[in-house]
Amino acid sequence: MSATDHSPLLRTKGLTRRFGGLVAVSDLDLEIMPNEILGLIGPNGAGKSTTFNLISGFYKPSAGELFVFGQNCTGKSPLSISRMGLVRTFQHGSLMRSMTVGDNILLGAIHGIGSRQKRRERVRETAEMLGLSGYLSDEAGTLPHGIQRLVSIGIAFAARPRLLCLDEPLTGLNQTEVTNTLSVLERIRDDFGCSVLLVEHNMKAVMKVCDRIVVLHHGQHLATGTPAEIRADKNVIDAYLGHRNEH
Amino acid sequence: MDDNLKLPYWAIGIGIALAATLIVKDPYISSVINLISIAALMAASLRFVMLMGELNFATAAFVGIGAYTAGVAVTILDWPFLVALVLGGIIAALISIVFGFVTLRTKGPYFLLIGFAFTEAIRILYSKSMVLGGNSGMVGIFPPMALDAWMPTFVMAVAAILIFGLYVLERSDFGRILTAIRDNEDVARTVGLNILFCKIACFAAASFAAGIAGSLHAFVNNVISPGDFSFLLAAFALAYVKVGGEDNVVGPLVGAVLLVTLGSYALGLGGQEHIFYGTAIVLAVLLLPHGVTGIARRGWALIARKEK
Repeated sequence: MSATDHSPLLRTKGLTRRFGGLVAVSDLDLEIMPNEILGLIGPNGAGKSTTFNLISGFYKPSAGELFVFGQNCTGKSPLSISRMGLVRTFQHGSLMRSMTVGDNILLGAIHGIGSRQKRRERVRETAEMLGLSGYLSDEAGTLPHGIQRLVSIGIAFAARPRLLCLDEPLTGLNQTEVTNTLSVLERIRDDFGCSVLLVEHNMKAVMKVCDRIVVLHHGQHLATGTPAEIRADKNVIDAYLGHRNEH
Repeated sequence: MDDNLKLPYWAIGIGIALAATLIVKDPYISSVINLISIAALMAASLRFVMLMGELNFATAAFVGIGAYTAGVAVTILDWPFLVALVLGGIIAALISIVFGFVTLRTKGPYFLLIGFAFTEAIRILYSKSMVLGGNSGMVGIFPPMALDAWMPTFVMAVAAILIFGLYVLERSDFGRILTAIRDNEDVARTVGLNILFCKIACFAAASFAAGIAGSLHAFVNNVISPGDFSFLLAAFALAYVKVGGEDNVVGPLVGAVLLVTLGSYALGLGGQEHIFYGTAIVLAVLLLPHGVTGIARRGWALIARKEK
C-alpha cells in the first residue's frame, strides 16, 4: 500500500438494497484502498453481485451512500462512474464474441483518447501485458474460455481504471490459467497502481492473491481482514467455509 | 483492427456503375437503374442501423420525410434543386435525432414496433394534410431541365457517395462501438462509452441517407403520395439486405440489383412483384443465411483452396 495516500478509492456508508421484501445488501460499509487487491467473498446469495451492481451504478441503492475517489456518487449512472475510473466486468461473457480480440480491447481505449494511433498503442500495450499479443486478429468468440476471460479483463483494463472490479474472473479456468490470471492481477496492482476488487468463488486463489478480504453473509458484512485473519475467523468458518478444511 | 478501406475496389465499382448509367439510353432501363440506386441507398441505411443490432422499420418514414421535404422545398417554396435534395436528408436526420432520443432506450421487437407505428402515423399525417396534397400527394417535383438526361448518373453518384460514407463510418472506431452495442451493450457502457449518444448518432447518419433516398425518389418520380411510404418500403429494404447478405456493405447492393430487376420483370408479366419480395425473404432466410454475397464468398474460398 502506498505510504502517502491512505484515503480510500471507494467507500460505502450504510449501503442497502432491497428487492421487494428481500434485503439483498444491508447496511454495508466497505472501503477499498489504493494499491490493494480486495477480495469480496460469501456463499451464494450473500449479496456479492448486488454489491457489485451498486458500486458500478447499475443498481441504485435503497439507502446509504457511495463515494468513489472521494466524490459522492450515490445514484450516479454507470456511464459517469465508469468515466471516473471505476471499471467493472461481468460474470458471464464480458466481451464481444463477433469482434476480434484487438477490437475488443480497443473498445476500452476509445473514451478519453483522441488519436487513432494512440488508441492502437494502448491496445498493443494492454495485449502485451495480458499475454494476448498473438490473438489480436482472432475472433474472440472462437477462442478458448481462458483466453476469453483475459480478453474481458483486457477491455476493462484498456480504459486504465484506478479501480478495476472483476466479477468471478477465474470461473472455469484450469490451474495454469488461474496462476496466470493471478499474476496479471498482481501486475495491474504493482505496475499500474490500480486497485482490484475481486469477487470470486475460488477460495484458494482469493487467499493467495488478496491483500484484504471482505466476507458477506445474507447481505450483511461478516468480517474484514487479511487472508490469514479470515481463515482463522470463527464466524466465517461457521457461515461460509463450514467444514471445508483449507487445503 | 484492419483499417484498410479497400479504396481501389470502391473506385472501380463506382466507376463501372456510373459508366453503365452513361451507356444506357433506353428510358425504361434508365428508370430501373434509378430504382436500383435508391433501393440500394435505402438498404444501406437499414443495414447501418442493423450494425448496432436494431431493425429500423422507421427507415420508410425517413424516406418519406426526405421526399416530402424535397417536394415542399421545390413546389411550394421554390427553392433550388440541390438545396431541396440536401434538405431532405437534413430534416430526416433532425427528426430522427428527436425520435431516436425517445425511442432508442428500447430494443429489439419494441424498437421495431415503434418504428413501424411511426412510419404509419407519419403516412396518415401526410394524407390528412391539405398543404401536402392529402391522399393524392404532391405533383411536379422536377429536377432542373439540364439534369434530365443525366438523372440516372446523378442518382447513382449521390447514392454511391452516401453508401461509401456509411462504409467509412462502419470501418471507423465508431463502427466498432456499434458492433459492440449489438454484441454486448453493458460491457460497452462500463468502459466510458456513451451508448445512447452513439445509438442516436448511428440512427441519424442512417436517417440522413434514408432522407436523401427519399429526395431522390421524389425527383425521379416527380410525383409522391402517402402510399409510397408505407412500412412495405422498409420490408423491401430488409429483403435487399437479407437476400444480398448483411455481413458486408456489398450485400444490400447485390440484393437491391437482384430484387429490383426481378421485381420490374415481374411487373412486366402483370404479376404482383410483392410476391417476389416475400418469397425472396423467406428463401434467403431459410437457404442463404449469409445472403448471395455469403455464398459467393464461400465459393471463392473453395476455389482459392483448390488452387493452392
